[in-house]
Amino acid sequence: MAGLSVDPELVERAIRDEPGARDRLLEASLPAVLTWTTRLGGPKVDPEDAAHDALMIVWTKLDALRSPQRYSAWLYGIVRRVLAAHRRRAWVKRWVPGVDPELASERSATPAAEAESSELIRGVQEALEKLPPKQREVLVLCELEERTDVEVAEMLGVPLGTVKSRLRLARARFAQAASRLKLDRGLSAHKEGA
Amino acid sequence: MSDTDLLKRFAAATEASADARNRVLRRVQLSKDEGAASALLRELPEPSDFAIARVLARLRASIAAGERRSLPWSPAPLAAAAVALAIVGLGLLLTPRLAEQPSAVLIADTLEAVQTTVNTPAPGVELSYTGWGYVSGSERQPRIHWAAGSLHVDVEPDAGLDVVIETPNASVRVVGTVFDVDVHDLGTRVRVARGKVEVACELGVTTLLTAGDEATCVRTSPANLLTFAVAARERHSAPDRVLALATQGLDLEPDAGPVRDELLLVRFESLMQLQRHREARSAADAYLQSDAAPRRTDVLRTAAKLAFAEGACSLAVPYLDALERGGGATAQDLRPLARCLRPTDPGRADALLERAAAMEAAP
Repeated sequence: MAGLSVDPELVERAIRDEPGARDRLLEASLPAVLTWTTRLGGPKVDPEDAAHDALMIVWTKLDALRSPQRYSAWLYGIVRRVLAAHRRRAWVKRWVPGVDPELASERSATPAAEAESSELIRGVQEALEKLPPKQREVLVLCELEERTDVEVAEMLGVPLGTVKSRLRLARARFAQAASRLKLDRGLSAHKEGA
Repeated sequence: MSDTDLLKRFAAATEASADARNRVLRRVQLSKDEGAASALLRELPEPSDFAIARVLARLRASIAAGERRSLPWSPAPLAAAAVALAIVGLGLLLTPRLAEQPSAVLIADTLEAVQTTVNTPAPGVELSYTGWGYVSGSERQPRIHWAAGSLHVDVEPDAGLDVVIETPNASVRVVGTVFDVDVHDLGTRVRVARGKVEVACELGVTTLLTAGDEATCVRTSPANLLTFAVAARERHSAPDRVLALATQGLDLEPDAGPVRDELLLVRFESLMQLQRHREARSAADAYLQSDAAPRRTDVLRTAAKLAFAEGACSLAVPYLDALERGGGATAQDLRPLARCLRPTDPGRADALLERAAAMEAAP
């Protein structure tokens, strides 16, 4: 789980531009930012490009952050805006040679299992991408990052009731999409695990 | 046909198929079971360490290059249109020189890769590598930002190329040569096969290497700087050199911990050697703030002496008091403490003198 966990003291030091603090802050934030851009970006967005751009904004605009305690919400706001901008200019493609071998090797042992796993991942991504962006982000933040609805409401700057209703709708739509895409394997695996 | 028959035919025609029933059942099951959605979502992979390292390397390269990307939300559409028009206008006036400034290109592979990848980022420059980094700059002045792994560089001699390889710990400048750069956890190693290169390490040491030479720039980390500072002290290097290393380490290690404690101690001792007593006492204060501070007793005693040297009992009392309360005080510590406390607390002063006398009388 690449949830964001950054010490507010580190944020304060980074705002004061203490030596090395900004660099540490970027390092600490990167896994969560890359997770967000991967899961929320959709098919047209290169998550690494988006993560890079979001963190460059953090690097240059950190002085604008008023309260270090709000870093998580501030950072998420930046990621949202960067993703929106990247979706708009998604026709620009970056050259990335090769695949990510680490990821490919760690997920599956055999070609058949790899194909099955890739198919499921693609299916889940497709189901996720069928959700409206506002529902998708609530589902990802609550289900994947295990954030409470109160936390998510604070991050998104919306009332708690809105988060709850978006989550309910997102779950229902995701379930519909998953069912249509016949993503039964995940469900049966979950049942077997239970 | 009777109404009943009609209804029966309608019922038969509209009866849900087994497939449809199963689909709805699955959907209901998914909707009811929140955990099922979570289980499916968890199939999505986390970003790999490789991806994280790749983005981090790009970020550092961008920051080092002073890149200031246009912020996605900042330019107003009108401003963007004006910029676009200006670019078109300039394009009509000037001959495009696109080859002069190629955009940063990612060159990526895995550290575990068996096969070496060969890349020619500019005419006269050939890179063979297992690892990852970026190329920016121009064809005449390629800048290779090498993040991790092994890089073999072959630069055509006398071609007027200005090639610089930047690693997290070193900067290698070369004109016409063949050499290897290895970036690993401990630092950057440069080996020259042919020609000359100038290696500037992160710590500011610049070395000229010729064919057959090898140099390693050690990664700047608080622990490494502590090692260097201690080694420099043991080699009897100049105290200001030891002090500089300890101070650099402290700048990198703002968090409390044994490395910071030791760096503070080295700083304190160096300042003492340099006879910068007031600064030494401040360094002692910083060291004593740590709960661990294994050399607490010695530092308290020395700081008290420094405070007395400044001529003030009031400055020395906190150190001697801490010594006494910590159980590390000797008779030689208790007597000056009693003397300082006598005007304000004669009772405690007498008690301290009695303890000092008892300590001295003890075999």
